[in-house]
Amino acid sequence: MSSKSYKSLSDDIWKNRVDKINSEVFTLTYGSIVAQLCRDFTYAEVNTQLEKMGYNIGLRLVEEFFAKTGLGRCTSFKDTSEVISKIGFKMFLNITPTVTNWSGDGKQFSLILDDNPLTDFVELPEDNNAANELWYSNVLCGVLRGCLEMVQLDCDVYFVSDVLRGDPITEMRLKLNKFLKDEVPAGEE
Amino acid sequence: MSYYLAVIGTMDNPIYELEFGTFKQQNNGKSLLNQKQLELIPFIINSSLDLIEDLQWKFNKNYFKNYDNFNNNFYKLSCYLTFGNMKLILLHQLDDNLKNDDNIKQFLFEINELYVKTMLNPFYNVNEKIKSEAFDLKVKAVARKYL
Amino acid sequence: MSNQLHQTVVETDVDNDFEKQINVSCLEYLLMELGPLALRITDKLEKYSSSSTRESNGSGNGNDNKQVDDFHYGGVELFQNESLVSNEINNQMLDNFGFQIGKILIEQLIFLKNDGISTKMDEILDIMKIIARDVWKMIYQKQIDNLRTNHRGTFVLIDNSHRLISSMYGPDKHRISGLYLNFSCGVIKGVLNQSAFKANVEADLKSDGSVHYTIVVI
Repeated sequence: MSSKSYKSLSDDIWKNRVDKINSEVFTLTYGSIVAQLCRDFTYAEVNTQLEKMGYNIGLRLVEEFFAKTGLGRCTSFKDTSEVISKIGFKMFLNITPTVTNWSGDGKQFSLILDDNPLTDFVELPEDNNAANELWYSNVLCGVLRGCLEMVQLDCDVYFVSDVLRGDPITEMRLKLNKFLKDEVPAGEE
Repeated sequence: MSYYLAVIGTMDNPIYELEFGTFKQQNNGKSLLNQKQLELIPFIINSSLDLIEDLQWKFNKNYFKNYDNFNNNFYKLSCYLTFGNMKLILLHQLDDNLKNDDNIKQFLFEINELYVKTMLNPFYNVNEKIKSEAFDLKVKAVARKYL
Repeated sequence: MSNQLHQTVVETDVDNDFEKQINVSCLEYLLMELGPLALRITDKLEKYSSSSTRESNGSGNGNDNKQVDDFHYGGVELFQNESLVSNEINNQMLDNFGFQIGKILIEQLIFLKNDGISTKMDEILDIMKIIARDVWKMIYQKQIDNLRTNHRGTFVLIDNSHRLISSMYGPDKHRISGLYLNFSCGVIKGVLNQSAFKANVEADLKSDGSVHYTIVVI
C-alpha cells in the first residue's frame, strides 16, 4: 500500500470508525499516574513502570488495531514504520508523527512527535532531576513494544529527546532486534 | 499607575505575587511603587481577606469589584473567587479612567483561566506556590493585553 | 532559554487545547491498566520495606517473593495473587488516583461550562447533578442512570453497568471489580472535596451488575 493510501485510510478510520472523546480526561488520568509514581519511586523506576504499563496496553490495543483497519502483514520494516506513524498513531491519538533517521541497515528509525496529547499542560518539576531522568511519555514506548511483539517483531523502543525536558523536538527511536518465531511447546510436534 | 496581583490559597497562603505597572500609553510596565508602599501591600491584601469571606457567603457571586479600599480610596482591591476558593486579588491605585474597571474584570478572568490550566499540570499540587516561569510569562502577557 | 519559553507561550492557541480529541479506547485501556499498576506499585513498595526490615530482623518473607516482575502476557496473573489484591493499600491508591482526577475535573468543568462567569454552586444537589451527568460522561462516556436523594444529605447514584467492570467475567470478578470501584469513589470524593463538602462514599456491586454509590454528606 502506498503512503497516500495509508493516509486516506487513516483519515477514513478516524472520521468514521472511531469513537472520539476529548483528550483532557486522558491527559489528566495519565498525569495523575505519573505524578503518583514520581512520589513513590525514583525516576528510573518510574520510566520502567510506565513502559510496563504501556506494554500491557499495547498487547490489547493491537487487536483493536487489526480489527478496525483490516490490514494484512507488512512487507518490510519500512512498511511497518509507515503503518505505525500514519495509521496507528492517527487512529488512537489523532497525531501523525514523522518517520526519519533511518539507520544504514534499515533496522532503526525515529519518530518525531510534534504534538503529544499526553503532555498538554504538563510542566516537569524544576527541582530534582526530572529534566534529566524522567521520560514523561514513556508509556508510548511500551505500547509500541507490545504491539510489535504481537506481530512477531522484537523491538527496542526508547525516547531520545523530549520537549518537556527542554529539547527542541520529541523523538522516539525504534530498533528492530529480531523476528520472533512461534515456538512449538516441547513434546508437541 | 501600578498594580499588584496576588493569588491567595485556601489557607490564606500566598501562592503567587506580581507587581507591575500599566502598559498603556507606552508605559513600559514598570511599577511605580516605592519601597514603603511595597511593604504595606501584603498587609493590605491580607486584611481584606476577611472581607471577601464575609461577602462570598452573602452574595452568590464570585467577582467582587472594588470590595475594599485603603487610605481613602488610594488603593482599591478587586477580587475573583475561583470555584476551589482561591482568591485572585488585584490591588490598583485610584484611577479616574472608569473604563479600567472592565479591563480589570477581563484581566482577572484570564488569570483564572491561567490558574485552571496550572491545575491541570499533574506535578502541581493545589495550594502550592506557583513556581513556573511559564506561568509568570503568561501573566505578564495578559497584563500587557488588558492593563 | 527564556526566549524559547516566550515563543512557546505566544504560539499556543488557548482555545484549542481544550478541544483535542482522541480515541475513546485510549482512555479505557488506561483506566483498565490502573488496576494492575496499583498492584505492581504496592508489591514493589512492600518489597522495598520488607527488604529493609529483613536487614534489621534477619528473617525472610518467603511467600511474598513471588516474582511479580516475571512478565507474562497481559499481566493477568497479578490478579490471582490473593494477598496482593486484598491489600488495603491498593484500594487507597486507586482511591487516590480518582481523587486527584475528580478534584481537577470539577474545576475544569465549571470553568468550561460558564466561560469564566461562574455562578457559585452552593447546593450539594447541583454538584451531584454535575457528577452524575458531566463527570461520568467524561470518564465513562455515559451518565449515571439514577440519582436518588432523601434531601437530608444522603444520595444514591445508580449506574446500571460500570463500563470497566461489565466486560469482566470469571470467578474473581467481585474481588477485582472492587478495585475499580475504589477509583470511582475516589472521583466522587475528589469532586466533593473541591466543592467544599465532606462526605462518605461507598460503592456496592449488586448481583444484577449495577453499581450503587451511597454518598452521605457530613
